[in-house]
Amino acid sequence: MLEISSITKKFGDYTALNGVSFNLKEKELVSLLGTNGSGKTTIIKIIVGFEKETSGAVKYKGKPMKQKERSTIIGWAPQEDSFYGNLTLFENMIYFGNLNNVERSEARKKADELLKLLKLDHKKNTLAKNLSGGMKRRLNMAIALMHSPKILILDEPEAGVDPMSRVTLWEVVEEVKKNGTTILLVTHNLLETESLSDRIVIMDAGKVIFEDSPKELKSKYHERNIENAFKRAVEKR
Amino acid sequence: MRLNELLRSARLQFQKLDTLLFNDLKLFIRDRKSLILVMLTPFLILSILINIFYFSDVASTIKGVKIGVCDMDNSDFALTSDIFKVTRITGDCEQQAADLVRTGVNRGAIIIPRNFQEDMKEGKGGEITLYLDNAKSTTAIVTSDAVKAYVSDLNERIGKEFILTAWDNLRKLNGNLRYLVGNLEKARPIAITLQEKLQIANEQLGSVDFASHQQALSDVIDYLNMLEIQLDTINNSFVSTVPSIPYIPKTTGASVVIQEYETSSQMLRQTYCAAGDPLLLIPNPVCTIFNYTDSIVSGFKDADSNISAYEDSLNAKITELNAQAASLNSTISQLNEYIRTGSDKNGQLRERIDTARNDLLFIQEKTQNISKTIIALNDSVNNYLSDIIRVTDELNETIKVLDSYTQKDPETILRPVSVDIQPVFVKKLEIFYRMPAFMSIILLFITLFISSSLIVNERKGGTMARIFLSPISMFFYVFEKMLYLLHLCVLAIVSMFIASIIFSVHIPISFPLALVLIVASLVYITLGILIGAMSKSENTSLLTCLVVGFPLMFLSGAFSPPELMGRVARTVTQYLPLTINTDLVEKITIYNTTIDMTSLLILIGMTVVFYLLAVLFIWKKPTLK
Repeated sequence: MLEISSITKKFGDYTALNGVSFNLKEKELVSLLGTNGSGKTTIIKIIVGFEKETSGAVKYKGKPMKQKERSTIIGWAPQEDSFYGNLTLFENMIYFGNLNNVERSEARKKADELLKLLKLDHKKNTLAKNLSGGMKRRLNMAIALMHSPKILILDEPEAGVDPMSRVTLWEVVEEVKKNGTTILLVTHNLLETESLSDRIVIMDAGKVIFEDSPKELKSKYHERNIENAFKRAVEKR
Repeated sequence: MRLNELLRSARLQFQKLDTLLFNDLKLFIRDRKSLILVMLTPFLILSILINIFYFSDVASTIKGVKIGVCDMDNSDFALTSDIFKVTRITGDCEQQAADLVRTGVNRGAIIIPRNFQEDMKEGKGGEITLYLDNAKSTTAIVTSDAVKAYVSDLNERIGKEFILTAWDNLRKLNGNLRYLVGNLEKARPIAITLQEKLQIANEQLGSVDFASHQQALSDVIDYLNMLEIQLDTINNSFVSTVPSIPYIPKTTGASVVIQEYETSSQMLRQTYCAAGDPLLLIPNPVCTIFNYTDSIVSGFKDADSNISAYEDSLNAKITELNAQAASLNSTISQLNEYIRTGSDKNGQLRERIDTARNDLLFIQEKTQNISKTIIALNDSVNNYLSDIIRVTDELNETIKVLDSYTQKDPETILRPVSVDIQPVFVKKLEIFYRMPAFMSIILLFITLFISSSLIVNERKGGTMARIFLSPISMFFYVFEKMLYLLHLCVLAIVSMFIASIIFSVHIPISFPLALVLIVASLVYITLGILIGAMSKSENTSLLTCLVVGFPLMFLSGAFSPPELMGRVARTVTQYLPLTINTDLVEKITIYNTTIDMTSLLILIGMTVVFYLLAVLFIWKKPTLK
């Protein structure tokens, strides 16, 4: 469905990405893992269109993806709170929905559905700035889903969220996945996402060093614990 | 089908614009900081500025400027004005007074030198020194002007006293001249009569023919001279006697020669002419010559006898004459005797001639001298009389001139030119004239801060990135932000108008004014968005706003007119948006002119340029992470 094909990104003399290739199949959840500076954020920026690749391409259904297509195909939930704190949850969702060509009546309906799905319906009319960290992440996700994107990119949604909220967060992610949305999850939390992930892509120093299922990762490195397997994979490299 | 799609697309665009705008306004209302910044800050800043500049002019407002007066002359110098709070220092206090200014205790110090008053009285002039705290330019100008005005009054007072005294003297002089001229006027007809009489005398003298008299005298003298010469001649002529005439001797040579000729010719004739030669058919030439010469000699013979007779006759006459000469000589001797005996009378005659001649020469000389003296005297009297008349005329002119001066008020001479200041505008408080600039400056800063911080916050919060990922172009996004920020600008403008109404600084609201303020707002909005687009943090954007705003503010002419700026600044300022904005508002509110379309188009052009640059910068970097 989404193909990251031999993407190289250079910032002057520095090569941030060096021939990165992986793909996302429809309705699957792929976790993108990597150490700090491995190039995860850069590849996400390139996928959403904030950065232009030096070479390679982001393809959707076999064709290079245009910027206009990105806005309808991709739903992006960034790491930080990308909404207006002085708007209620509902207002935020309507607002971003409208910006993404969702008509008002439809947007309201969709907002209600998503709020329910993301377990935020009881906070519908609360100002976004008054939400907890976990709820804010979910609101981020809800906004990203307002225009019913084919692919949802979640950039470290668990960052700064307490364990209890994280459990709810993963439950929500699972719900979204069950609804048929393809998800690219950027995370550091392997243990919590292992069960969610259909496949894992591990990046290190601007390259993809592993792309397969969590089970395969553990098997490859003869580890029961996926975090240890990841550690081995990076160390081996 | 396609039409439906187009309609849907258009509706969605409007929906987006509406949503964005509505959302922004909702956020603004819920954001107290922005609310205060946009609505209360313009009101508060303008209120403060109105209070600061709530005066008619600088001089009437400044009060209590501390001035030290170092009076080394113990004079009556008194700087009485509400502007000043005067402290008098006496003695050798110049340094002390200057130090009080240098240390900021006083704003100025006036130094009255020693002998100031005495020098003034003696007309030497004097110099008052003024030490000024020019670090405080406004008070320095006011102090300087006030002291200059005081010195000017002082100069006028001293000058007036001097001129008044001079005026009194002039008036007295004029009176004396009038008296003198009065008397001269009386003498004028007498002088004229005398002059006429002299004229007649001159004419009479002119009629005397001195030349002919002189000539007659000369002729008499010449005659006497000639007489004397003749007398001498006569005297000398009788000294010699008449000599005897000698007798003429008898001429004998001719008769001898004739005789010799006759003898010789007789002989020759006999020889050559006695017998006739039959052979000779022609007469003998010798005989012919002899015949001829004989006839000539016969003539000579006759002449000789005549001469001799004449000589005898002459000698007889000479004898007669000699007898007469002897008789004459006798007479001359008698005459000489007479002359000799009559020499005394001759001498007397000579003396009389000399006396007569000398008398005549004396008379001639005297006559000439008298004539010259009369002419000279005549000229002198004439000149004198003419002088009297001329002096009288000139004195009359002088009196007229003196009249023209003394009839004037000395003050009009001290201050011949005064300036009648006619302000073209009705006298208003200073703030009325500063309002356009203040409103523009407040609008600039509020708009720059809010626009730039909006963009920075949107970018920082990630909402810009989200919007960037939505199907909205950057042009649309920035346009919407402009539209939203324009609403805030309108609020800020309304807030300022409310402040102006509350503080009774009425600004006439009109369509041109609203148009100019809206266009100016758009320039500042796009500039603010551009600053926000270029800044990575709120601090950077605020600092950039200050860096951009302050030069614009100080170059706008709001605090210092462009005429006082340097050449470069003066050139640059006319192309700056705040200057153009202020100028346009001033023209509408103060000068009541129409909108300068060129300036308005320049502002619109700036808006377009800033807008395009802002779009470019945001498009290049929609997110900070």
